[in-house]
This record gives sequence, C-alpha cells and structure tokens, in this order.
Amino acid sequence: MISAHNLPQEQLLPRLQAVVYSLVALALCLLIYDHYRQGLYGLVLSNAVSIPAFLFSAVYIYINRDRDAFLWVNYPLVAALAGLALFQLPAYPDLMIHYMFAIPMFTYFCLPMNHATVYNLVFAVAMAGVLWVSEDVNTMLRYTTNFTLLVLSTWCYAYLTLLKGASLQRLALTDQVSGAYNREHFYHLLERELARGQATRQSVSMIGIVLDDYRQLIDLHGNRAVVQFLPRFVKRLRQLIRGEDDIFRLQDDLIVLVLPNCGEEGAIVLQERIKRKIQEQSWRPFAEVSVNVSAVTRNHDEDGEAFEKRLLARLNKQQRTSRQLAAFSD
Amino acid sequence: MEKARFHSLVVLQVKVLYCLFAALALSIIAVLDLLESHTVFAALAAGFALALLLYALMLLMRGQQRHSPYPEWVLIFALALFTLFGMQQSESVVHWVYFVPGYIYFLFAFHVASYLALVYSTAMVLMILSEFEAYLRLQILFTYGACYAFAVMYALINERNNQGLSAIVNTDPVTQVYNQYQLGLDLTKEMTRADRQSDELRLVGVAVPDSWGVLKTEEYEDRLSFLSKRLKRCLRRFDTCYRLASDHFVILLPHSDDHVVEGLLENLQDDLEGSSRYEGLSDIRVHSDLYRPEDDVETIITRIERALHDQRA
Repeated sequence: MISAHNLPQEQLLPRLQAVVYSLVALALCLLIYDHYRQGLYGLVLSNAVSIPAFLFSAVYIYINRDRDAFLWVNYPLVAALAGLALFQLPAYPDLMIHYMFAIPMFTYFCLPMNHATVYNLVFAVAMAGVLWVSEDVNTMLRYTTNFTLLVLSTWCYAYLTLLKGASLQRLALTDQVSGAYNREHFYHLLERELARGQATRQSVSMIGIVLDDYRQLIDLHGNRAVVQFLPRFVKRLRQLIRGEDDIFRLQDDLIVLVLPNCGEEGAIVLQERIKRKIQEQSWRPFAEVSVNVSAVTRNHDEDGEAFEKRLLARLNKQQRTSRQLAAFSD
Repeated sequence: MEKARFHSLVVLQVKVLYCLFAALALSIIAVLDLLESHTVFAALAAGFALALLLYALMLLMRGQQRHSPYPEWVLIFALALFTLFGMQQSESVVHWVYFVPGYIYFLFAFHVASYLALVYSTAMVLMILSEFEAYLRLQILFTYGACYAFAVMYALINERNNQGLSAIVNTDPVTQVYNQYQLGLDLTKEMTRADRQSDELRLVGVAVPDSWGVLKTEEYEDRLSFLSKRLKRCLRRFDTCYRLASDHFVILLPHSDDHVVEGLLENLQDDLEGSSRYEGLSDIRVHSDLYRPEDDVETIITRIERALHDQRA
C-alpha cells in the first residue's frame, strides 16, 4: 500500500507517477469512448496506443520504485505522446491543440528540468512547423505563443521551486537520509574544533567509515532498504561514541566521526570497537555489512583540508588492501 | 552576497523576465485579435500586457525590497474571471484555463491553493459542460484534468520536500547564524564537555534594541543581519553565535573565563559604538551567564532571556 507520510521526495515521486499515469490511462479510456461515439477513429487509434504506454510506464515505475532505473521509461513515453499529437494535429487541429497544452506540465513533472525544457522547446518548434503547413499563419502564431507562454510559466514554477529547495538545502546542517550532520557543517565544525584544539592544546582525531559495496546494496535490496538502514547505522554509531563527538555523512558511503580531545591511542581503540560492533550486529535485510574503518589524529599545525585528505588517503589505502586480501583468499 | 539575498535576487530576476516575456506574448495575441476584429479581446490582452509590464517595472524599481503578493493575487483572479467569462464568447479563450492550476499552486500555500483550485475547477467544468459542443467538451476536460493533476502532484512533492528540509535547516536565513534548535544540540554537547573537563562554559546574551521592534520587516532584518555580522567579528574562532526564537542572540564561549567575556564585551562595545549606521547600537543590552552543573538547556536559555528582559525594566 502506498503511504505518503514517511517517504522522502525521491521515493514519493515514482509512486505519484505510477498513480497519475494509471489515472491518465483511465481518463484516456473515457476519451476513446467519446471519440468512438463521434466517429473520430484516427483519434481512437492514437489513444489506444497511448493507454498501454501509460499503463506500461506506471507498472514499470511501480516495480522499480526503489531503484534509480525507473526514470528512463518517461523519455519514450513523452516522445510517443508528442509524436502521436503531432501526427494527428493536421487532421484534428481543434482537438489536438488542447491535447498539446497538457504536455508542458506533464514533462516538468516526469523529466529533469533541463531535459523537459529542451523537449518543450523542440516540441514548440515542431508544432509551429506543422501548424504553419496545415493552418494559416495567424493560427500558428496564436497557438505557438500560447503554448510557449505555458512552457515558460511551467519553467518558472519548476525553477523557482527548485531554487527554494536548493536554498533551504544550503542552510541545512543535517543529512536528510541518515540524520547525521552533512558536509557543509563538517567544514565549519572541523575548523572550530581544530582552532579550539590549538588554543587548549588538546588533540583532535577523526575516524572514517566506508560502507563496502554501497551501490551493490542498493542494486540488491533497493533504495528504500538502504534509506531505512542508514539512520539505524548512525544511531548505533552514536551509541559507541562520547556525547561530545559528532557524526557526519560526507558521501553516500562515507561517514566521518570528529573526536575532539581524543588522542591517537583513543581513536585506534574506538576504531577497532566500531568495526567489531558493526560486524557483530545483524543489519536486516542485509546478510552482513562490511566496513573499512580508519583513524587519524591531527598533526601539529595541520589544517582541516590536509587533515581530511590524510583520512581519505588512509581509507583508500585500507580499501585497496582489503580488496587485495579478498582476491588473495579467493 | 548572503545566500538568502542571492536567492531573492534570482527570484526577482526570474519574475521580471517572466512578466516581460508574458507581456510580449500578450501583445502578439492582442495584435492577432485586432487583425481578426475581436476588439474586446484585443483590449483585454493589451490590458493584461500593460499590467504585467507595470508590475515588472514596479519589481525593478523596488529592487530587493520585500514586495507584497497582492498584485500577483489580483492578476491570477483577473485571469480566472477572464477565462470563466471569456470562454462564453470565444473558443480560443479556453486555452488560458490550462494556466490557472499551475499559477494557483505556485502563488498560494498548498492547502489554500487546493480550495481555490477546487472552486475554480467546479465553475470551469460547469461552464465547459454548458457552453461547449460535445465534440470539444471531453477533450478540454481531459487536458484541464491532466494539467490540474500534474500541478497538484508537483506541488505535493515540493511541499513534502520543503517540509523535510525545513526540519533540518538549523541556520537562520536572515543572519546566517545558527538557530535556537541548534543551540539546544550544541549546548548539550558543550555542557557534557565542560563537566568532563571541569572547564568553564560561559554564554553571553545580546538583546536586540527595543527601538527596532517598530520597524518594517525588511529594515528590521537588515539590522539583525548587521548586528550578527558585528557579533561574529568579535568572537574567537571556536565561539559560536545563535539567534533565539525571541530574536535575541546568544554566544557560546567554551573554555572561557571572566577575562574572555570582558574582552568580548569590550570589543563588541567598541565595534558598535564606532558604527553610526543604525541607531540604538550603542546602548545594546548584554548579559553574561555561567553554566552550572545543575543547569539544563532550557534553564540557561530562560535565565538569559529573563536577565535581558529585566535589564529593559
């Protein structure tokens, strides 16, 4: 059952698309009946092609709703709809011009904004060409102007909404999926802790945790399982660290702990404990979660960037070693 | 340029460009109507074009100042009325009904837009059923329904996304300092550190001058932004500044003693007294507080706010 209450945007979109496409297919059935009653058999045929296209897309999107692969199906769908509309435009201009006005909203709903814009502009040019050939210049000018204005209105709506979201995202300090702090806040906090460590002569350490085979986990279990796993993972990490330590998610599969007033020995002990506890715990639905963990302690006068680089280099080295060991044991 | 200001500048530019382009498009429609001897429709299209042009000029002249949403609401109501009454006269007017759901969901909050769109749609459907012949009726309703559904779904996704983001935005967009929620999180952490390291944790509350309370929102926010910048300039690299829900600022000073606080207050006073940009800055109220082991977050914040309030009395 579709429950919209606890789904993030990436998971809500495919579900809504599946629902809307099914509804459009139903509405097209009614439209076909009406066209058939009026003897518009060309349109009956076009809509008869559109219905399975919508239904197939709805089913495909719903099946792949927790994977990234669902998006591509929208491209052939919009191309098919545009092709059918342009094909029928010279025969039924009065009807098809109305049909075409649904396309801007539809494309901005189901395609990325830039692709939708390019698609609509190409479509507007094609529409103008067909109308110029089949109708008079005034009609072409009127309909193309109206259509272009609708495209522009929808673009403004999409762009300003996107801008608002991006603006909020920049002000956010927390990663929406895992609940850990995000990259933006990481740099602020690291600078602060390094300055503080320098002033109070306390050491600062970091522990990097890389989730092995992150992409494979998504492919095998779907986005939703990974999205549900990450907050549990961060919560478990929080139980293993002190109240003054902070957790950051810097990349999809990279989590970093900043440990103020923690020396090298303390960081290594914590690194081993984290590794052991994560491997001991069951992380259903995953059979096991394998991680690479590395710790670094700040050298004298090292800045945040160099400190982060050193952690990443150590993590990379460890990942390479783990892979070589795995290949050797096979 | 601050992120919030940059955002409003881009919004302004997009709105101005949209109005100008829409005015141009409507002028073309007006000319076409005139050529086809639909003088009333030509006059209406020209009227809308002129209104959009004036609105774009108004936006440009007001610059980044906050502008009222009423002109946009008036334009959308005018468009709604035009479509409802105009479609009785001319078939081509019906194209404009497809714009309405998108505009409504863009300009109004989701729940308000839902009611407005429902009322408009009911009137529109009745009008289509009574005015149009069977040949066109269902096709128009189908396209309108599709536009309506896509606008609702698009708005729903954005509403959910913004709700989700608002919950994790712990930075105040006006002043770019952290908000009270983040103060709660950071203070809890600092209290643990102070307890563990037997260190002193101090907080300084800075009240916004009372005289600012009567200002217009944008002038008030300008002053808040200015004050937050001045405050940040006086801090050590590991001190942090927060804006409370009451608009007062709180500075968190870990590893500090009386000298650190005195130094901060002196610097702040020098900085503010040297500035003649806004009135009221020189007699700003401040209160310094020390974390005690029995304190919790709420107690400290309440104590600071009360002390700042008492100073006013």
